[in-house]
Amino acid sequence: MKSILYILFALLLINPVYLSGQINISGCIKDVKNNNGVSDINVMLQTKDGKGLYSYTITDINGKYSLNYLGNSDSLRIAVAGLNIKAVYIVIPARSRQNMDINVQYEALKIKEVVVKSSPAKRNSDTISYYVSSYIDSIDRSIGDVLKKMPGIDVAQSGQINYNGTPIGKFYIEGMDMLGGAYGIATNNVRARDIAAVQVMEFHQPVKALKKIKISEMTAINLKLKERAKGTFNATFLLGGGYKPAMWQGEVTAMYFARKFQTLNTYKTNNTGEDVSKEMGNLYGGTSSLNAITGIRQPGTPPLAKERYLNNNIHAVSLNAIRKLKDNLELILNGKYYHDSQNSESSSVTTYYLPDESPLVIVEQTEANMNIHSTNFDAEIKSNTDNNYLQEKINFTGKWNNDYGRVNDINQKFSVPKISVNNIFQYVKPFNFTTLEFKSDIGFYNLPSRLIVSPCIYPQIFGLPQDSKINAGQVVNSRRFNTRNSIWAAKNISNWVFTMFAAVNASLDWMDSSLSSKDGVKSDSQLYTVPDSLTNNLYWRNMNIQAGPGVSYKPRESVEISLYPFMEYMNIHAEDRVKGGITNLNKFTFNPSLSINAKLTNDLKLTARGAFNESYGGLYDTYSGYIMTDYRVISSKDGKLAHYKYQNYYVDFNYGNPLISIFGSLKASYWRNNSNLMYGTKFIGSLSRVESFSIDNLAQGYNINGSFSKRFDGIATTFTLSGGYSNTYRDILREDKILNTQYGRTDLGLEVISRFGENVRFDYGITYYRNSNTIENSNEKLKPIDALKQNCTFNITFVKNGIIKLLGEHYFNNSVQSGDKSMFFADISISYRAKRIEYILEGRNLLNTKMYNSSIYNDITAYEYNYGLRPLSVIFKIKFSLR
Amino acid sequence: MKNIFLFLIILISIQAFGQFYPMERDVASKKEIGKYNYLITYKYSFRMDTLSKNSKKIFTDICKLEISNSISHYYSSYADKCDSIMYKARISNSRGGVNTTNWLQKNERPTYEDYFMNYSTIGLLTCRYAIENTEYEYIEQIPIFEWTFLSDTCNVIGYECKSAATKFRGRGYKVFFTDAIPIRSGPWKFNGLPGLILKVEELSGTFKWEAIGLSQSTGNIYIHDPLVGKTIKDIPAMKIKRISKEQLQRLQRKLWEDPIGLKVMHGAKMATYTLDAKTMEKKPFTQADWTKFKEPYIPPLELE
Repeated sequence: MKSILYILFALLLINPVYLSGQINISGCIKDVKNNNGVSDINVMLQTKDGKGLYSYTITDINGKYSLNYLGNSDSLRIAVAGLNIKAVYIVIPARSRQNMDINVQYEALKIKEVVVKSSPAKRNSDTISYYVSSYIDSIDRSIGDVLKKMPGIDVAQSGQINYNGTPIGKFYIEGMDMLGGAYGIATNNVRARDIAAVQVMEFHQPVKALKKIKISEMTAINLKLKERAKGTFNATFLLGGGYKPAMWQGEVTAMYFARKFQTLNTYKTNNTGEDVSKEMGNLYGGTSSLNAITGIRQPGTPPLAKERYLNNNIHAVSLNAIRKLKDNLELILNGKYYHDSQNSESSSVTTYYLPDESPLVIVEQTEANMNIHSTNFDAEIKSNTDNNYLQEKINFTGKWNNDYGRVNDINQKFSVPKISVNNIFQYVKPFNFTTLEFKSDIGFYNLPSRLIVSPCIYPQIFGLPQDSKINAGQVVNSRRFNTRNSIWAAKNISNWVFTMFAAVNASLDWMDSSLSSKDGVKSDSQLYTVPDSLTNNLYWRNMNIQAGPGVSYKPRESVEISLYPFMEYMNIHAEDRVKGGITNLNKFTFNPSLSINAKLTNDLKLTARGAFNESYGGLYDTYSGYIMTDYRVISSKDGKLAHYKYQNYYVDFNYGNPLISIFGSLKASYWRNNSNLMYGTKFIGSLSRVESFSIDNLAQGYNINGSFSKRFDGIATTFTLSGGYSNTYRDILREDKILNTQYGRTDLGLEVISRFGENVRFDYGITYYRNSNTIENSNEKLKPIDALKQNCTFNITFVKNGIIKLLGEHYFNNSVQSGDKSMFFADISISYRAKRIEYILEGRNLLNTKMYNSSIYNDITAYEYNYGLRPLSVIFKIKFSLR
Repeated sequence: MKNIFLFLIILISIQAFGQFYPMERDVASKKEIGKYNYLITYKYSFRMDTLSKNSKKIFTDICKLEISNSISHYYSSYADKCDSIMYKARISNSRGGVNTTNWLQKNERPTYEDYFMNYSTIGLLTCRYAIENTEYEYIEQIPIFEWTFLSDTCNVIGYECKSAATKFRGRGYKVFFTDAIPIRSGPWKFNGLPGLILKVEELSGTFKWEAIGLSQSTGNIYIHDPLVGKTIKDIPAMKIKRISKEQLQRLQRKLWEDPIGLKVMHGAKMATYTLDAKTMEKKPFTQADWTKFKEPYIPPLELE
C-alpha cells in the first residue's frame, strides 16, 4: 500500500503538463519605479539567441502574462518590449513551471529612421524626370556638373547639352525660355542644389497651338526648381589671382527665378584661359548669317580644355530677363557684350598630296592675336497658348575684329566690323476648319573687311617680278538684305493631317572687292591701280517661291508618316558690274521629303527621314575676280552658277528607360550630292590658287554612330559607351587632275563616373580615334592616324567640406613627326567651403607640358601642328554666395 | 471593338476606360482625427488580370501607414497625390482641364482604399473604397489573425525581421516583422504581431508589401468628410456611402465584369449610338452592348 502511495505521489509530481513536455512561464511585468503592473506589453518567448520566436503574449490590465513552450531547448529567452518601454531580455533554463516577475522602466522609443529613396528618374510619356538628389554629390556646383552624371545626357564645356547624342533644341527654367540659345549661361551658373528635377522632353513642340498637328523631333530640357529657390534672389562672387603669368579672375552672378519674373546676369573676367564667351553663344546654331571670306591664318585649335592653351584677356557681361506680362504673354530681354584678346602660337607642317608628284610641304610658324568686341541684343515678346502663338523678336548683333598675325616673316592685319539686324515674327492660330501659321524673317547684314599681308610673297599675281617688295591688301565689302515669309495651313481629319505650304523669299546681295598691291613706302591708302581680274563688283537678287501640299498619316497614336513634296520657283538676277554682264535665270526645282516618327514602345522611338533637295549657289559661289582669302590662298569661282542635287537619308533609334537607367541611341545616315562644278587647287610655290571648273561630280558618304549609357544606382556609377564610323567618297581636283578620295573616321569611347563610398569620386574617360585617307587612283599611300585620349579625375573629400581634386590626362597621336607622340597633363585643386565662402587653390599643368602635338587629315591634306601651351601655374580663388 | 468610338453624352468621370480611377477626393473635406507619431511607407505590388497571359504584369503603389497612440490609418500616397493635384488646379483656377494621373509611371496605379483602425470605436476597423463618385465604407471588427511563427529571418530596410504565417479570408500570407519596433501594426488589415510588420508576401505571388521608409515624425491623421468643406461649391463632391462588405465585393466585381454598367449606376449617361471609325456609320448602342466592354480581371484581396 505504501509503495502505491509513493507511486501516486510521484505521478502527482510528474504532472501531466510535464509528461507532455510543456513549460509554462508566467508572472507580472512591473514598473521598476512604483512596482505597479504594466499593461499592453509584448512578452515573447524566444530562442536563446533571440533569432527565433516560440510564442508571445500581451500583458493584461494588471501586467500579468503567461506563456507556454512545447519543445526540447534547454534554455529560453524572454523578451519584454513595448511602446516607450526599455526592452528587457532574460535567458532562463527551460523548466516546467516558472514564475517570473520582470521589472521594466519607461524609455522613449527611438527608432532608426529610413528615408524613402525615390527612383532616380521616371518616365511619363515623352518626358523623363531625373531627380537631382539622386545624382548630386558634394563636389558638384553647377547644374551642368550633375547633368553629366545623368545617363543619356552629356554636357560640353560651353554648357551645350546633348541627349542621346543629339543637341537639345529648347532650354527652360520652370517652363520659361529666358536664355534662348545662350542657355550655357544657366548650365554653367545655376546651382545644382537649387534644382529639384531635370525634365527631358522628347518630341517637344514648343508652340502649344501646333502640339497635335505638327510633330517635332526636338528634345527640350526643363529645370524644376526647389521650392526654397523660387522667388529668392541669389548672387555669387568669385575673385582669384595667380601666377604664371600674373593672372586674375573675377565673376559676379546674380539670379532670381519667380513664377512671373526670372533674371540671370553675369559679369566674368579673366586671363586664365577660361573662354567665358562660349556659354553666351547661341548653342542652337543654325542662324543664317554672312561671314567673312578672308582672314589671318590661325593655328589649329587643340582638342583640350581651353585653360590649357588659351592666352586670353576677357571681360564678358550678360543680362537676361523674362517677365510674364499676362498669363501667357512673355517679354524677354537679352543683352550680351564681351571683349577678348586672344594670343596663340604654333608651328605646323601642312602636306598637300598631289597627283603623280611628291607632296607639297609647307612649314609655318604661326602667331595670332585676335581682338574681339562682340555685342548681341534681343528683345522678344511671345504669347503661347493652345489658341494662338505670337512671337515678335528683334535682334542686333555687332562683332568687331582687329586681328594681327604672323606666319614665318609675313605679317597679316585683318579688320572687320560686322553688323546685323534681324526681325523674326511668327503667328499661329487654330481655327475650326484649319490651323494657320505665318512666319517672317527679315535681316540686314553689313560686313566690310580688310586684310593686309606684308610682304606679299607672290607679287606675280599683280604681274610684278618675284623679287618685288610689295604688300598686298584685300578689301571685301559685303552687304545682304533678305526676307523669308511663309504661310502654312493644316487641317486635321481623323488620322490624317493635310497641310499646305507657301513661301516667298527674297535676298539682295552686294559684294565688291579689290586685291591690290602697295609697296612698303606708300601709305595704306595709296594703292596701285587694280586690274579687273583682281576686283569684283557684284549684285545679286534672288527671289524664290515655294509651294506644296503635305500630308501626315497616323495609323496609330504612336506612329506618324509625313510626306512633303515642295515645288520651288527661283528667279536669279545677277549683275557683274566689273565685267558688265547681267544674267537672269529662272529655275524650277522639286524638293520632296518623307519622314516617319514612331514610338515603338514607351521607351524606344524611331525617326527616319529621306529628302531630296535641289539648289543653286549664291553670289559667293560665282565671283570671277580673284580674292585673297588668306596670305597664301587666292580663289576665283569664274562666274559659273553652282547647281546641287542633294539626297539625305537617315534613321535614328532612341532608347530611354529610366526604370532600369538605360539610355542609348543608334543613328545611321547616307547622303549623296551631285554637283556641276569642281573647285580645283593649283599650287604656285606655296600659293594655292582655287578656281572652279564645269565638271559633273558626285560626293557621297555614310555615317553610323551609337551610344549606350547605364547608371548603376546602387554604386552611384554611370557608364557611357559610344562609337561611330563614317566614310566619305569625294573627287578632288588638284593640279588639273581628279583624285578619287575616300576619307574614313572611326571613334570609340568609354566614360565612367563613379563614387567609392561617400568621400571619393572617380571619373575616367578614354576615346580612340582613327582617321584614314585613301586616294584610289594614286600610288600615294596615306598612313592612318591613330589617336587616343584618356582622362582620370579623383575627387577626395578629406574633411567635411574639404575636397582635393586630382586630374590626369594623356593624349597620344601616332603620326606626330616632330615632338612627343604622347603628352601628359596633371592638375590639382584643393577647395574648402565654410558656410557660404569657398576657398580654392589650383595648380595647373603640374608637369609643365609645353607643347600639344597633333596630326590630322583634312581631305587629302595632312596637317601637323605643335601648339604652345600655358605653363605650370597656381591660382587662388575665393567664392562667396549670398545664399 | 477598337473601331468603335463611344460617345458619352455626359460622363461624370472623365477617366479613360481601363483606368479604375474614381474622381478625386476634395482636399478641403479632410477632417483631422488624430496625430500620428510613426509613419511607415510601404511599396505595395499587385498583379492584375491573373486570368490572362499578361498576369506577369505587376503594378505598384506607395502606401502609408500612420500610427498614433490610439488609431492608425493606412492609405495610398499616389491616390492622395492625385487628390492634391486636383485641389491645386482648383485653387489656382487652372483652365483647360487637369490630368491628375499623368505623372504616374505605366506600372504605377493608385489604390483608392483607406483603412482606419480604432477610429471612433476601439476594436473596429473602418474601410473605405472609392468607386467613381462614391467612397463606399464598411465597418468590421479588427480582424484577429492566427499566427504561426516560422524560423526564417530577413533584413528589411536595416531591421532584422522574424517571420510568421497566417491564413486570412481565403489567402495565405508570410509576413516579416521586427520586434525592435514593438508596434503591433502592419499594412492593410494586418496586425497582432509583437512587432511592426515590414514585409508581407501573399503565397500565390499576387500581392506583396514591403516597407521602404520609416520615420518617427508627427503629423495629422485625416479622414474625408464632405461636411467639413468644399473647394468649389458647384462641383459635386465625393459621396460617402455605408454598405456591407459583401455589397462592396459585388461592386468590385462589376469593376471588371461590367464597367459601363457601374458608371451608369453612378450617374454617367451613356451614348445611344456608336460610330464605326472606318465607315463612320452610326450604330445603336444598347444596354446589351455594355457587357461587351470588359476590363482585365482584378483579383480581390479577400476571397471570402
